[in-house]
Amino acid sequence: MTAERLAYRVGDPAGLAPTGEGLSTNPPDRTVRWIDVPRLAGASAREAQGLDGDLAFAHPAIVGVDAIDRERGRVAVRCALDADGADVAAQVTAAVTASLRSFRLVADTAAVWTRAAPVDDAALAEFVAAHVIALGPGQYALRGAAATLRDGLDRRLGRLAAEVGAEPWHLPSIESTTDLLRLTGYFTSHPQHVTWGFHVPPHFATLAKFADDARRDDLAAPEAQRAQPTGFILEPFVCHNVYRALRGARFEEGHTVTALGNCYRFEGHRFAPLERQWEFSMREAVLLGTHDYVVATRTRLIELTQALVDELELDATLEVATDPFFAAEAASLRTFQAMRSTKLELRLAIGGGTRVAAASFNLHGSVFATPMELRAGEAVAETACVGWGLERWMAAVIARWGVDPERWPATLRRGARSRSGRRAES
Amino acid sequence: MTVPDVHAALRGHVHQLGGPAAAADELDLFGAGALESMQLLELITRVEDDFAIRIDERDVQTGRLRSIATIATLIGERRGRA
Repeated sequence: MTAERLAYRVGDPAGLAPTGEGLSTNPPDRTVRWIDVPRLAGASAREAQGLDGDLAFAHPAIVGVDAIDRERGRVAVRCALDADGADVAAQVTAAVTASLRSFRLVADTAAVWTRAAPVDDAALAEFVAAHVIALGPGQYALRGAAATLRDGLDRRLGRLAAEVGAEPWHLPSIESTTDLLRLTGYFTSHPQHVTWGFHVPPHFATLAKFADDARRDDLAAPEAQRAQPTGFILEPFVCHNVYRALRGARFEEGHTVTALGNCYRFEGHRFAPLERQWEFSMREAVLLGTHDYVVATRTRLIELTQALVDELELDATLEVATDPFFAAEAASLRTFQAMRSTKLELRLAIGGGTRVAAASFNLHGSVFATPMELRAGEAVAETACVGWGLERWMAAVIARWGVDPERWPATLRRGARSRSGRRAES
Repeated sequence: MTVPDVHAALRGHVHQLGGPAAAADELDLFGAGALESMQLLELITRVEDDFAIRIDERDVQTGRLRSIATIATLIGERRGRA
């Protein structure tokens, strides 16, 4: 059996099933295209592990991946009826070929730690239907118990970070494109995720013309020639602005910062509430200092996170992982990351046999410290970061404990109301 | 090809990829910054083509591409099996 069936949500508000279910039928303006990709024939499961993710960025007309057939070397994509079929096929072929190549030298992931727990396959969809409202692709409002659960998880994770002496910070959700992003090659390695900012330049006649056009033509954005880049992107990570803020700093041994941030990553057609969002909430711990300090603190944060998984009695695995690099650039980067084993991911079960990466523990070496001139004693410092994705932790808690806040672990339910309207006590 | 020839050929590849002209055998090529992460696959491709061997994921994960010395040992083992 090598034709995996995949079911994803469509990335527009009308197509977002609030129950979290995939599409079972095609709307009349969409069709399924089978595309032959010779390089896929006979590929191993390991080589093909990134295909569903990489195909999200192959062509804008693709709204879903229905099947990946490694035996015959073909994929089935759902896309708009009026899409340029030749271009869809060309882009899919290129993306698949690059993706397979990037995983050739990445070993099969073996869990370094596992914890089994019961999982309710239906709870997440029920909770999303009751407490999550889709506002656009990957954009969701959390109401009532959902907002309370998010806050409860963040409070608990904030306490976890405090156990390693992390200093609390607040950071902007935007990052200048002038320094770190360029110096570390982010636009080369992850262009598919980036959301840039634009504005109309502060020129009276230009603004007046845009206002006129917007009124007359019901414009939602300036035309390309009048759109001026803001010079920033919506922040994909919390940690970047910490390195930028501490540029030139020198640490004796080390320092840890923690902050909750809104992060933004475009994900093509793969958006799903709580599971994969354009805007999501991430608490990070950012570690800066000597090699020994960074490694030891990261190890302690892994232990504390495992203890939290035990406390919440979640179903989890901890695995060596690689980043979701852009497929065309991924091969060397992914191979390098596998060689250095610098990334561990905690994957939590959310029902339906799905596990999502809900925390990652990343060693950076001097990748950020060198361009930001961070020093530990007389040497170049090292950095690491630990990120906890709050919405995915929410999904895992719901899958484990159900939709009723009264059943949630006490530490998470302060202020939550059950369906009956009763306030749950912690 | 003798062992010194293998070492010399590897040093040539490292230099062509932007590394030092005479990298020490034990130098951690990527850890010491002699080569950048983006050059790893190019180095692997050159080694595979030049020495007619296949490098696999276990070689990557077990640090066998760390230095000229470790790569040369890997080449010797693979070619000895051929």
